[in-house]
Amino acid sequence: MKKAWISALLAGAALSCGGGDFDPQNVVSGVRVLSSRADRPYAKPGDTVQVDLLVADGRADKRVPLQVAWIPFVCTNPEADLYYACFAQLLSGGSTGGAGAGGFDLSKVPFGIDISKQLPQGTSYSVTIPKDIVKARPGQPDPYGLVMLFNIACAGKIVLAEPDPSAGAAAVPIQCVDDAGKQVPPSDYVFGYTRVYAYNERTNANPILDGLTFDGKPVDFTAGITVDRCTAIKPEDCPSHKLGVTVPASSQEVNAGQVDEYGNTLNEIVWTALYADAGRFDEDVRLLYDARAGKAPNSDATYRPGARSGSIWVVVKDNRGGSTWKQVPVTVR
Amino acid sequence: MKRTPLGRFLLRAAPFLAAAAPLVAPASAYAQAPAAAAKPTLVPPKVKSDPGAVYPKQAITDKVATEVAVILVVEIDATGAVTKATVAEPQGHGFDEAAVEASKSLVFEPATRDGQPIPARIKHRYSFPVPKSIIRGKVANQSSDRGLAAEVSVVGADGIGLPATVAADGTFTAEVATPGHYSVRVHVEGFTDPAPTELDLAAAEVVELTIRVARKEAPPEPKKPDAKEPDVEEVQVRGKKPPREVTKRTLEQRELSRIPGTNGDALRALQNLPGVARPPGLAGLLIVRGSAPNDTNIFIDGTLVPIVYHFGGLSSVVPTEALEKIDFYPGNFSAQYGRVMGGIVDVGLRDPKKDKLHGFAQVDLIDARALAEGPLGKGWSFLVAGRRSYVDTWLGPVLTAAGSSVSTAPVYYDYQAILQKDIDKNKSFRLAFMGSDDRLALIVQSGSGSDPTLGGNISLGTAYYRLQARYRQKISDKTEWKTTAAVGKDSIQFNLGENYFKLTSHPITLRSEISHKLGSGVTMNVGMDWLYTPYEIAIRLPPIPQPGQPDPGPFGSRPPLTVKETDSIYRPAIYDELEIVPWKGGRVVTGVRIDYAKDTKSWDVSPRFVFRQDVVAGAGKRTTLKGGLGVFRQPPQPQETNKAFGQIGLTSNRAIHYTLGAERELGKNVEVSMEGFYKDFDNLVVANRLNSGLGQAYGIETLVRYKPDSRFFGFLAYTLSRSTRRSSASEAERLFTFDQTHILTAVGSYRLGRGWEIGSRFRLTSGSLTTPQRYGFVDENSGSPVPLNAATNSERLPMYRQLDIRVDKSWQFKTWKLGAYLDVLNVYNAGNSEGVSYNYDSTLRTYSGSLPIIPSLGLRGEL
Repeated sequence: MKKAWISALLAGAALSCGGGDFDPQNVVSGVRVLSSRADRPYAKPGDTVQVDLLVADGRADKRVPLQVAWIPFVCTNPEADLYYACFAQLLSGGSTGGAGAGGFDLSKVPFGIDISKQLPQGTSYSVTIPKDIVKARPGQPDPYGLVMLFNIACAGKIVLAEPDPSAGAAAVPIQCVDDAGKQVPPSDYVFGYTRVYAYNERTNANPILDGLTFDGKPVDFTAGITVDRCTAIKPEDCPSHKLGVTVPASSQEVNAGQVDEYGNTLNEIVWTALYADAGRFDEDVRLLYDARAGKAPNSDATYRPGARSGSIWVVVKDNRGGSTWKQVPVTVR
Repeated sequence: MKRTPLGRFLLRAAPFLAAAAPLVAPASAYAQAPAAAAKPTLVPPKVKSDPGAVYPKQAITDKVATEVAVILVVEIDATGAVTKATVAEPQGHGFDEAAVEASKSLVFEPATRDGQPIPARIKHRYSFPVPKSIIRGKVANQSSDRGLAAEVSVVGADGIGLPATVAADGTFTAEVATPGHYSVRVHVEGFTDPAPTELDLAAAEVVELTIRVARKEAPPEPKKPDAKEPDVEEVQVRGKKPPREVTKRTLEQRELSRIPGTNGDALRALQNLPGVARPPGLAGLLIVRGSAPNDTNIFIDGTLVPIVYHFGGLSSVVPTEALEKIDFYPGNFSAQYGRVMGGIVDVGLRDPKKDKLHGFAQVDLIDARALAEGPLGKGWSFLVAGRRSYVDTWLGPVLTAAGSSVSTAPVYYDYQAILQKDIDKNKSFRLAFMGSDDRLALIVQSGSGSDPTLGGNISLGTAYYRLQARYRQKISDKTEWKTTAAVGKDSIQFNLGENYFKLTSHPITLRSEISHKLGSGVTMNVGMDWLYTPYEIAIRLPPIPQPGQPDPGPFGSRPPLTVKETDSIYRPAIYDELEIVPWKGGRVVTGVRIDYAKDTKSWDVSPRFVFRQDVVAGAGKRTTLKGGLGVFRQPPQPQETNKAFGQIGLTSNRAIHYTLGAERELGKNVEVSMEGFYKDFDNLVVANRLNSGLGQAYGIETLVRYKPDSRFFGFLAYTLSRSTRRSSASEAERLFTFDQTHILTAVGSYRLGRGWEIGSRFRLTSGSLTTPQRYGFVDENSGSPVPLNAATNSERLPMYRQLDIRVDKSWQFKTWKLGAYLDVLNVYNAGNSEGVSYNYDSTLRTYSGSLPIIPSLGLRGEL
């Protein structure tokens, strides 16, 4: 009887949390951009900030090379901080900037023409934060500015997309197409955006990933992890291993200017996101530090190996744009 | 009202006086004379004056069908006055109180010892024969209304006829000693015999009839005007006053507590009525005629309360056993209600029982509850009730096993207390205290990959209480005054990681109305509805996405807005209504309500009009046309006028309600109703665009209802409707989130006998609306995919169907009653869809499931 009610409640929970027997987010089986990292997560006006991307290529067929390109367009302070509010600026030849932009104006590019060679390539990109970007906003304790950067990881050609009325304001302006001009499947491209916030006073450092443990033993990032091959049809039938992520308490900074409903100062939330192209994790995300309660009592993740060797990626993030990561090779016996 | 004749009392009291001889022998406290060797001469007291006892109203309500006697032990002083009366054997149903009250008017010749008056104590008996019911009426010519000499017979269910006195002018009277079912049969020479008039008489009920008959055949020349008129019978039975609204749906107690799938929860039974959509999943929402849930207000005895259901709609915040009635107005409601443009639910707490101590306790798989009530003396009575869930005992461990640290397991409770004083038959005062509390807190360590900040410390709590005072006075035969004032506290709080929402308010409400009968068929209701709510609010949340906007990305991707302020909501209102009966069978209610909202600094004037007209009168075939037209204004929600989360310069949302329908009785138990409704919305609040929104909701509701009889009750309700919105006049119309095209509900319950009852509910509704999504972007700061949304609410889920069955069994013992029930939801485990689940990047999708089969077992003991 109890189980029935439990099922009912979990069914209710599933309505909001999703469900279905799908591969979890941590399984990398195509082109993925797993994270971005700014060397100054909270920049100051006038700073030059370098942004790096963590890109994983989990495609089974990699005959078409993967290119990572940046849209040479710096969107500043979009309405309500919404990414799609930048698209109108982008297509109307709004502000451009950043290293390697070269004054490339998308508003003058015809639809469907390969623009890959005109775009800055690579997983790193630098941008200079405008000096007048910081603005006061209702409901915000401190004024701030926002720069949004757009990029695309594409196993194909990059073209300017024709407007898609069905997508409304959020229509993707850039497409990744094959030689025939047809859009490649979602597994072959990622259109992404990264936010860089600027404050006059506030600062933030990227969290530090001290190390990993695998079944309680320290992991050598170069040698990686060796596990037994598992060929079970159901991933949950494979043996489980505990992966520990060591982040020092100093990485949880005070979230300056932010207080809870009782006036107590809040700290950052720090979590780890886990990915694998060999095997899978039971959890996509594990909480490391809570804003109120501090260090989480048990933050180990559960890893289950698969049939082939590959990599796992461990990304540590805070909720103020801070990020760091490690890629660890996985070898199956 | 029945008084006990003195002679009958003496006759019946004689054996008791004899039996009371030892009692009459004076106890030491009463005997003033010293003991003597000689045997004293004792004379018991004699009744000088006994006005008799009043038959209690509660006994009529309880339908007591047999004569009852109450024996009092009466203490009489040396002057013959009654100093104390106690009930020897309580009989309940208000008889004991009536007897004690009557004893205060008793006057005795005092007992004597050797000729000297002395105190004494005797037994005194009051008998309460079942008061007779009276059927009176008139037999008249259908065309001329002239009285006709007729033969009238009243026949009981046993076939035995009762004498009826019939006058030459067609008037007749019959006294009925035993409540029950009766047929009134009429025969007039030369006229067609009308069908018997069937009546269910309660004790002391007075029924007035006019039975019209038509001539049997066309008379010879010259032809009379009424020659071809059909047989017509019109029966007028004294009944309840028609509602002020076009539609007022009231479920009877048995229906409220026995509808399958509700666990006997009356307020959950509301979700089965026409015009009420099925809420998604376990949501405890009331979706009325295409309006949003927060467009419908819930009142308890006229006092606004913030919530009606506990967590997930598992149960309501007021137990069924404490309810007297639930009035549900799906639209075109009276001017006494305002500030919403959907519907009204007004829950009435019942009066405490006054005859003796009563109580019950009930346990089921969700919660346990108890209630106690009874008299306190001097006209006071009380009721206390409480309920606590024990979901925490098993859900806490489940959540822990799922990887969460549970700091406060989910729990809810509610409580009610009533203290009532019936000052006299025209005045009553009641003090009520009620409230509820729901809370949950946990730490989620494995958050969602698509929204990583939706983890960590999560807590939720809602609570309210109200202290309510109600005074009612019938100032005169024409004027009645009722006032309800309440103070209380509402608290809503949730934390989501570092984000929070905490609202604490202290609503003070005053509702007062004077009803005055201006003349024949004209009554005026003038009232005020005053709301003042000081509040404190602390919010730290990202900007809230609005319907129709693209996905803004992960929850925590934008800097949170922070608000901490103290302010107040002040919304006074006055209203005036005229209830007019312009002609026979007609009724018109016209009114106006004037509201002021301090937060928007705006005045709202809302005129309203409804009518009802009986086009066919007569028990069992009454047919009524009804309709209404009115303006309904709803001030913006507090978050909509907040300077950080909302907009400045908003005014009230507006809806114009149009309703037209008909009701028809088909015999004694069956009634059919059908009505069409149209709601025209404008001035709706839209994010960043002030009051630019428009919309409409329209549909047809039908209800076929079999009212409860000794065996069966049931109803079939079907609603066909459509509800749409537009963000502005120039934008395309979209289906409203809570639109449901088809809503079919069938309910039936049958008493099998020997304490068994079985019931079933079947629901078939259109699926909920959803907004399809597809692969879009990646928010690289969080690593989360952000989908592209198709047009809002552009996909409908498959039809929803569910069959529920409930079985009840009760055992009656000498002093208490035991009941057990099994309520099984979704008996055949229909695989319904409550939503669409997508994989992490929205490239794959599947329907997410709904409730599986859920049995719930409950036990109940009742005194």
